[in-house]
Amino acid sequence: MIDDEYLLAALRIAAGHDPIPAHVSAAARDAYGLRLAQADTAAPAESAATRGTRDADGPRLVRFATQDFSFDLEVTIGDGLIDVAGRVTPHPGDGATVDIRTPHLTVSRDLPATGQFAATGLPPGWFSVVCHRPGRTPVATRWVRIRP
Amino acid sequence: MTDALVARAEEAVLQSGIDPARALESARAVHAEAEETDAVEAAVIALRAMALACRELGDLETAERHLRRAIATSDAPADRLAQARLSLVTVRTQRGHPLQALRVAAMAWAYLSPLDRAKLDTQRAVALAHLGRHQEAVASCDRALAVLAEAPGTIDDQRFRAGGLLNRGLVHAYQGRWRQATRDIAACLELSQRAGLAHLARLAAANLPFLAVRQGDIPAAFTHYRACEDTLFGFPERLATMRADFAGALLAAHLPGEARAMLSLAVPELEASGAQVALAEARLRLAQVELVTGDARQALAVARRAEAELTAQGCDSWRLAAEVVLRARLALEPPSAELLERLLACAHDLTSSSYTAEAAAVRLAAAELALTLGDTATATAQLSLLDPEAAAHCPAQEPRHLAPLLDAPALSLRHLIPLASAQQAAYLGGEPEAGDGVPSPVRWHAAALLATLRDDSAAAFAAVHRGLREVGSDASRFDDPSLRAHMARAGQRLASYGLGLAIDTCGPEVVFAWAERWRAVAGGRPDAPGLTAVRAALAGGALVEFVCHDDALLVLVITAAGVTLRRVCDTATVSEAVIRLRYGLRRASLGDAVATGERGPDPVRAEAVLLERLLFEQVAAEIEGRPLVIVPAGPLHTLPWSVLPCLHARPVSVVPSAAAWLAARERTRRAEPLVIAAAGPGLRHATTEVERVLAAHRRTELVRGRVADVADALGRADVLHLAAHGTFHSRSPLLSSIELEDGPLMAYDLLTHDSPPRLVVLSACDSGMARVPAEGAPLGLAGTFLARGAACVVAGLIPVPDDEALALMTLFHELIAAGEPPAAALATASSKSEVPGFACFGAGEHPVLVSRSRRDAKDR
Repeated sequence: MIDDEYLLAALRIAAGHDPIPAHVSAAARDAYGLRLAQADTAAPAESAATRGTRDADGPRLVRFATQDFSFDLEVTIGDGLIDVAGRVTPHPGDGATVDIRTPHLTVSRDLPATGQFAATGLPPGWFSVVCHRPGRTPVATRWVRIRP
Repeated sequence: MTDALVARAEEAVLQSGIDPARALESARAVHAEAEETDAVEAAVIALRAMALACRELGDLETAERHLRRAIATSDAPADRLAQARLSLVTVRTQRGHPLQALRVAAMAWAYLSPLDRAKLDTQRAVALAHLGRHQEAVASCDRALAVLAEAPGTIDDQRFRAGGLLNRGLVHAYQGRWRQATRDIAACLELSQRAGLAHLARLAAANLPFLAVRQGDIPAAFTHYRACEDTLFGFPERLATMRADFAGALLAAHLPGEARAMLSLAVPELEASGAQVALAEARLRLAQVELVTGDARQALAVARRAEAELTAQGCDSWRLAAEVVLRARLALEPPSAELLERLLACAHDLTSSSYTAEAAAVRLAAAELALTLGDTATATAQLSLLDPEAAAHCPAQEPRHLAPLLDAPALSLRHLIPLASAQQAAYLGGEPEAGDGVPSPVRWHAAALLATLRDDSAAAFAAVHRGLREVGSDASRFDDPSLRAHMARAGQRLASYGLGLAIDTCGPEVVFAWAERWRAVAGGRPDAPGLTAVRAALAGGALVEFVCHDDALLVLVITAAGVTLRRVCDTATVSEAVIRLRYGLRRASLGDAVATGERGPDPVRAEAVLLERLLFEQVAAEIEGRPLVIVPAGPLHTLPWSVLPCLHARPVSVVPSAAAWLAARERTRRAEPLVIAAAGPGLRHATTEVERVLAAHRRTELVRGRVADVADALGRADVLHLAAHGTFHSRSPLLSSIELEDGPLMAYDLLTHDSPPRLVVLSACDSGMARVPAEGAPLGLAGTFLARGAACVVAGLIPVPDDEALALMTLFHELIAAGEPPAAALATASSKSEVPGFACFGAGEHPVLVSRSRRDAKDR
């Protein structure tokens, strides 16, 4: 029944009978604003630990990679907010920056020689990391969702 | 034929409480037949059975539709229609319309038998309770239960009797009468188990986590919670309501992270099942939690929805949602006269609904905003309303119920039943404190601000001091360190005000005194130590105490020569550097191929050098070459200190406060200590490690790595060594554990041990990690051992490779056996084995053993 209602609503909108609700347009504009033109997208990749350690659960590590570039991210959840740390490899050279983006705010960090970066106190939810490389196209991870 | 159908329909009504899914199926069949044969009575009963089953399954909307259809049936017997109305009473209440529910009840009343009226009374009670008419609700249950106790005892009678007990128990719980609540709900559980009313039994059981939190027994609460999660599987609305209730209790216990986790599960489930009342209240709590945990944007969005929903339902608590909206705006927007005006209006609204404590907190926020805007007149007027001098002349007010609310410490404290210590029980049995309902930190904060406006800094300090003492004496009534620390948070803003005043107007000695005073409050210690005592204990060492104030990190260094205070940098910079360093260490520990095979600078070393410069550059001369006692603050609680180049091979003891360090030094040691060791499961090198550790000492004992054996060893050992997997729970740090063969040994389990070993070595990952709700009270395994009386704990701060732990610990125990103090032994062992992940907590500068050579000399 729910599907029927959606179908009817979609048909009415498509037929131009009803205007698109304002919040839908606003959400669409917001989503479009998060789009990064001409960026390469790094997809999730395997990130396997190779040594036995003495913790039961293991950290929350994720890797995103394109053919020649990778992000390693680690997410720590504190008192409701999250910290993100990570490293990009290979180092894209001097002047590179990293943006840690959530739907509402973007935190920018200059990339030091180690290639490591961190941001603290982010709200849980969706986030994505972008590396701006001087003279080359930026690379962005897919959006990932971190639950509190 | 018709009689048979009626009987089958009644059968389905009875079955709906036991097996709702099957009841729904058979009621549908009966209803179809009844429709065909025009059997009106059977149709009405079948519809009611379908509704009851739907309600049990969490589908309130469909339940109501069935009942309304039943009531609309023409020519049906009046008593059957009244029974359908009886059921509608509960559904309307649950869907957020308690007043209408009472009207429905009144319509049903005349057509019901005395027994059915008793049943109706059990349902009216719920609507009454939702309207805040608690006394009437209890009276309604009392009346009903008296009749039902004499009833023939059919399954339906028993169901309503158990339901009545449950409802009365809940009303007692709403009013904070936990003992009566527990008694009724336990009686309901017993009755429904005996009668095979599995579903009611589940409902009764679902209240146990909430009640356990309210009685201060957090571990039991989580045990009940996990049991309920299993038993309520398949009943999404019940499960969600249970989670929301549990979250409310957790929030009142100042455990916002836990509450948030529960609520973020419960709210979508409540949305899906259409339980409007529970949903609106849950949303209000979620908004409060979002604000406390720092996501103002989310808090604003959630609070706005809660406000609209609560207003639509006519619930008074919409004002609390409005308060969250304003506080979130305060965090998100620049200061403005418009916001100030709204805050003042909100304070007025809250006062008129007798949300006195909340009103006071909002007034203080308004005064602070007025000061920011330069509006001294408004600030003074608002502060004067909170002034303790004026308050002393006000008559005492009745405390309100159920107040797990923001900045309302005194209020929520009163409604929190803590652990069963005599002192706590006495406190709870006592009269509510006299006063005007203004929480003491708010009142004294106002007094301090007023004194500052008069340029009377002595009076301002005195007011902050007095307020902190009151918060401290409230918090110290709690045995559970996590409750205590969270409770102390109520004083955080006040403490920060005092600290700021000291930083702005006084020298480092006074800043030290204020930093320690706050740590004493949070750590449940009666007093902060004097500088003289600290200096006397330091000998050649230095105490390095970090202090967070506003966004800045400061460092105090105390040596025999003097006290130095320096501003380090902003806390966020240090925070990120620590996180990057920990990240690098973890990747190295995990042996990640990409991270280690990369060209360029060694990330761990680079971050360590950076942190060293940030933290110690300005006090390098003061700490040069000295063994250190470090009191971390903020992000530094998770820093593995020995990674910093200047601390390499240097003895470092990490402590929650100078007071805690002095206390740990007092602990006695024995001449021939007993060393006990145990290995946990699933590690290649743990058993070898334990063998080597024991081989290093004289009086030793190997125990099996099981919870009971290790718990027993805790009471006997002077030195306890555990080689096992470790887990740190950042959200519930006292659930952090060491994995043993038959289950985890949690930090909570340590709370019952009064004399833990002098030295505890946790050769496990993350066992030294802590969450610090309030400085001075790090919560985690190491912190709990120290708080319970261990003099020193050696524990890991990052994932430790199994083989490296073996190498480090073998060396460490050889040095301990030779009479080295733990901090020095760990420094040497870490540097020789190049394993940096462990830290020494407590009085690490005191040897555990008298050294062999010294002892041998003595023997001769």
